[in-house]
Amino acid sequence: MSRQSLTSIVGEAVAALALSCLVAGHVHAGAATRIQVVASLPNIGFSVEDESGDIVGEVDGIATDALAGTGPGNVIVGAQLHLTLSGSSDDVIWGHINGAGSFEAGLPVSDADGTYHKPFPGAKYQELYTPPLEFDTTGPNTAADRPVEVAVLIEAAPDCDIVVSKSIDLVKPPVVMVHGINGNASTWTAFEAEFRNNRGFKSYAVDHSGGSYNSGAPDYGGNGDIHDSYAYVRGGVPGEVGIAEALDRFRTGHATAHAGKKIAVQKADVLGSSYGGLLSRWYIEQAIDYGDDVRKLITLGTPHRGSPVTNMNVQTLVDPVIAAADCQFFSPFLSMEGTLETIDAFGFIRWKDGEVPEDVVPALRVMTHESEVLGVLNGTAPFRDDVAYGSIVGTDNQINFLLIPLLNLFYDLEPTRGLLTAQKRYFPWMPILDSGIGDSDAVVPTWSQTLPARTTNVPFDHLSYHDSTSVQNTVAVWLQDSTLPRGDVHRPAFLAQVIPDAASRDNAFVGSTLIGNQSVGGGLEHDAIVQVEFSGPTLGSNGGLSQLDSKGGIVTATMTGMARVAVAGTAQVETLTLVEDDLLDSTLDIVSQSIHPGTTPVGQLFPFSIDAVMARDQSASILGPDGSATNFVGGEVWSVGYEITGHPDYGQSPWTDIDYTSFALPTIFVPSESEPFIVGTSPGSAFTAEGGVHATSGGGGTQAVNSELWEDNFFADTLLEDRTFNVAMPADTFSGALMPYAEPNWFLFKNGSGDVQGASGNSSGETSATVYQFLNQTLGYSFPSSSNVTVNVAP
Amino acid sequence: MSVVCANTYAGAAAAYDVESDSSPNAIYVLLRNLNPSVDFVSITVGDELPAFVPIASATLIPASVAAGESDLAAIEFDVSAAATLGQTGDIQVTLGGLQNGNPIDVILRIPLEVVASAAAAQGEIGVGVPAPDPGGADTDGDGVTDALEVAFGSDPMNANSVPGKLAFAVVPGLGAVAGIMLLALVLMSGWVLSQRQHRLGAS
Repeated sequence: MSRQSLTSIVGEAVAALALSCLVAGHVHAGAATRIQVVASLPNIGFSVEDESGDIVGEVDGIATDALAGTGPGNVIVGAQLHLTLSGSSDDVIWGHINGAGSFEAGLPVSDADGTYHKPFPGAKYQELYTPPLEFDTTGPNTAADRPVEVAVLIEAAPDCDIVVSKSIDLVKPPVVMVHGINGNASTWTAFEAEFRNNRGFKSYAVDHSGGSYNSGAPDYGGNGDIHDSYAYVRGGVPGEVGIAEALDRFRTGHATAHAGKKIAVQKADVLGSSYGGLLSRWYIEQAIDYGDDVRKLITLGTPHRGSPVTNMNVQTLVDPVIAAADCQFFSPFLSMEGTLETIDAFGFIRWKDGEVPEDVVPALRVMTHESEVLGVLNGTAPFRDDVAYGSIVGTDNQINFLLIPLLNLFYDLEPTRGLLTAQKRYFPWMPILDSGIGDSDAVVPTWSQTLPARTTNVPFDHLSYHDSTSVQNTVAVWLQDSTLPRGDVHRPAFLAQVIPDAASRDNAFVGSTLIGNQSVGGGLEHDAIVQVEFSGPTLGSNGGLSQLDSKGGIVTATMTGMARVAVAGTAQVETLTLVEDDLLDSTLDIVSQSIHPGTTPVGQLFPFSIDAVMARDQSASILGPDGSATNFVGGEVWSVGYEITGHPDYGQSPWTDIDYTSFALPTIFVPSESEPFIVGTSPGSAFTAEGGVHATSGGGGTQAVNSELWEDNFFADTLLEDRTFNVAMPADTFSGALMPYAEPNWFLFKNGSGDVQGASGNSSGETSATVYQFLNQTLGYSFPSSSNVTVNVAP
Repeated sequence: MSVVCANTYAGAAAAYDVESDSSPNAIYVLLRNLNPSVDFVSITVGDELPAFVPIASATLIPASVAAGESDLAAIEFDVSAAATLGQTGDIQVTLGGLQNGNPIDVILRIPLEVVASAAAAQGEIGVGVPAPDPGGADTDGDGVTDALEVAFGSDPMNANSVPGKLAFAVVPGLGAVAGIMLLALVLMSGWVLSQRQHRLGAS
C-alpha cells in the first residue's frame, strides 16, 4: 500500500481536523509530529470464582451476606470470591479500579467495600474477596447492585505495569418472606413488590399453604405442624420456593434474581410473619438439616411465646362447656364453636383440620402458650449465635372490620353465657392478661412478639404489617444494619425478659405437648375456667345436660375460677355462694374455704376449685344447706352459678343448667326381670323397693325409712308387707334433701290358696295382684305412692 | 475484565515530544495481540485528555485486532496554542474485546510532553508512514505483516526481527565466539537506539 493510500485510511479524522482549522482560518505555529510505538497485549488470565464451588466458572457478583462476629473485626463469613491470576510470574498488588479508571491498592473504602485475604499461606496469585457486611453504608441504599472493580497490578517490569480487573456486582442477599397461618404467598404481594421495585431487594415469598385455603391439603392452609412446614422455609419442596431456591436463583442468574448474572451467595435474610417467624426459627435453630444459610431473621407479630387465643381455640374443641358457650362476637346468636366454624367458612381462621376425627389444626397447638414446641425453642439456649434477629411488634389491639376498628380476638373469641346476664365470662382472664390497650396486636400479646435486644413497636394490628410503609422502612434498614444483634446478644435479654403476670398465665393456660413429632393438647387450665360443674352418684345426663332423677341425692357443684393472691405464700379464705338464677337469685349453699396460692406472687391469679352441695325435694324444688327455690310445675331445669365477693375481675360465674325430673316414687321390681312378675311358692321372689326420702337431719349417718307394699283394691287396699329399714346418708347430706334408698329382699309368694301373699302374712286373695309402694315420712312431708305393678302366681 | 498496560511498548519513553499549537499530530500503535482467544474490536479515547490536548480521536486499522495477530491503532490529536513548555500528560486509549463472553479492556497510555521543538517522527521509526497490508502478507511468519514491519523498522524477511524486538540470531557454524561478536553488535545497536531515545527521556 502506498503512503497515499495510508493517508486516505488513517487521515479522515486528521483531514477533518485540518479542515476545521482551515475554516477557522487558523495557521498552526507548531510542527506536527508522528509517534510510533509497539504495544504487546499480554495474555493474562484473571478468573473470579465462587469460593464455595456452588457456582461453576466465572461469577458476576457477590451478595453481602456476612455478619459481624462476636469480637471487633470478627466476621461470620458468607459468600467469598476466589480471585486467581494466571499467566504471570511477577510481583502483584491487589486493589481496585477507581472511578477515574486508575488502579488503587486495596479496596475502595476498606471494610465498607470488602477485604482481601490469602486463601492459604504463600498464595501469591490468589486472593479471597470478602464483601462488606452490608450492601452500602451511605445513601438510601435503594439500588439493586453496586459495582466494585476488583483488580490486580502486575509489576511486570520497571516500565510495564499491567493491571487486570473485573467489575463485580455487590448485591443484597435474597430476602425470603414466610407467611403466617391462614394465608399463602400473596400475604407479601405488596411488601415484595415494594422491596423488589423500589428498594433494590430480590425477594421471594414462601408458600407453605399447600395450595388454596380450603384445599384440604395436609398443610391445612398454612396451619401445618412446625416439624413439617419448616421444610418450606428450608426449600427443596417440589414446586415451591424456599431459601435453597432463592440462593440457587442468585447463583444461576435467574430472571427473578440478577438476570443473567451469577451471584455468589451463601445466606439469605428471612422475614417471618406471625407463625412464619416460628417456622423460620425452627428451621434455623432446631432442624437437623439446617443449611447454615440464614443471615438475619426479622419477625413481624410472631408469637415467640405463644398466643393465648390459640389455647382458647383448642379448648373449644375439647371442652363442651366452652364449645356451647355464647361467643361475644356473635352473642347471643352463635356459640363459640359456631363462631369458629363460621369464621373458618369465611376463610379468616382455619380452626379444625377437616379430617376424621376432626382435630385442631397443628399450628394452633404449636402456638398455644406454654406449648412444648415453644419450650424447646425458648428453653435454655434460644437463637443461633451466627444469625441476627429483630422483632417488629404490633400494638394496635383492634383489627379493622369493614373499616371500623372492631375485632380483638381476646375479647371476641371469649366464651360467655347470656347477653342478658351481663356477658358472664367463662374465662375473664383473657382480656385482663393479654389485651389491654397497646398490649397486643389483637392476636398476639406484645410480650410474646418481643425479641428484646432489637425490637420496635408499631401501631398496627396483626393483619396490617405487610402494607405499612413504616414497617417496610424498618425492615429495609435492619436488613442493611450490621449492628442487628446476633442470637447470642438476644439470648440473655430474652431469657431475662420480664413477662407481666407470668404466674397467672401459667395458672391459666395449658400448652401442647409433643407426641412423636406432633403437637398435641393445649387449651385452658380447667380450674381457671369460671364455671360450675355438677357431679354426683345419682346424676345422669340428658342430651349433655346434667339430670337429677326423682330419687334425689346430693349433687356436688364444683366451682372453679381464679383469685388474686392477697399475701404471698399465705392461705386465704374465699367465700362462694351457690345460687339459682331467678328474678331474685336464690342462695343454695354458702361455702368458705381456705386455699393456698402456692408460689404465685401477690396480686397475680391462681386457680381454685371449691365444692358446694345441693339437692332436690319431692316437688323438684332445688335446695341446698342454706336455702332453696321452689316451683310448682314438677320437673324443672334450674340455672345455677356462684357468686364471689372481693374479686373485681368477675363477680358471678355464668349459669349452668341442671335438669330435675318430675318426682315419682318408683315401683317395686324384681331385679333382672320384667313385669308381670311371676312368684312361686314360699319364699317366692325377692323384690326391691327404691325411692327417695327426705333427710331429717344433716351430717351423715343412717336414717330409718318406713315403706310398705300394698295391693290395690277397688274398695280397701291390702297391706302385703310393712318394713322399716336404715338408709345410709352421706356426710354431705343436709336436712330436707331428698336422698335415695334401695331396699332389697321384699318377698311375695304363692300361698297355699294359690294367691299372692306378702311376707307379713297378708294375702291379696288374688292370683294376680296389682302392687304398689307406699312411703311413710315424717310429718311435714308428703306420703307418696308409686304406680302399680302386676304380680301373678306361678301356674 | 480490563487490562491496563502502561508503557508496554518497546523502547518505553517517559514522554514523547509535542509542540504547542500543532495539528494534526499522529500516534501509530502497532498492536501485537498475544492473547490466543481475544479479538479486540473497539478503540476509544479516554475522557481525561491532557490539558494541552483539546481534541483526539482513535481508529483501529483495519477494524479489529484478531487473536494472535498484529494490527494498527491510529490516534490523531491537536496540541493547543495555550500549551506551555514542560506540560506533560497521557493520551489514553482503551481497546475492547471479549474473552469467553467477558469483556477485556486494554488501556494504553502514551505520555506526552510539550517541548519547543519536536522531531517530526519519534519512537519505532521504519520506512514511511505505518499502514497495514490489505492482503495480510507476512512473509517471515512472525505475526507482523510486511507493511507494518517496514513501517516500524523491522525485517519482514526475518522472523526474529519484529517491531520492538531487535534481531538476534544464532548463526549455525559460527560457534560461541561468533555468537558473542554478534551479541556485541546487537548490544551496540541497542545502545545506539537507546541513545536516540535518551533525548525522549527514556527511563
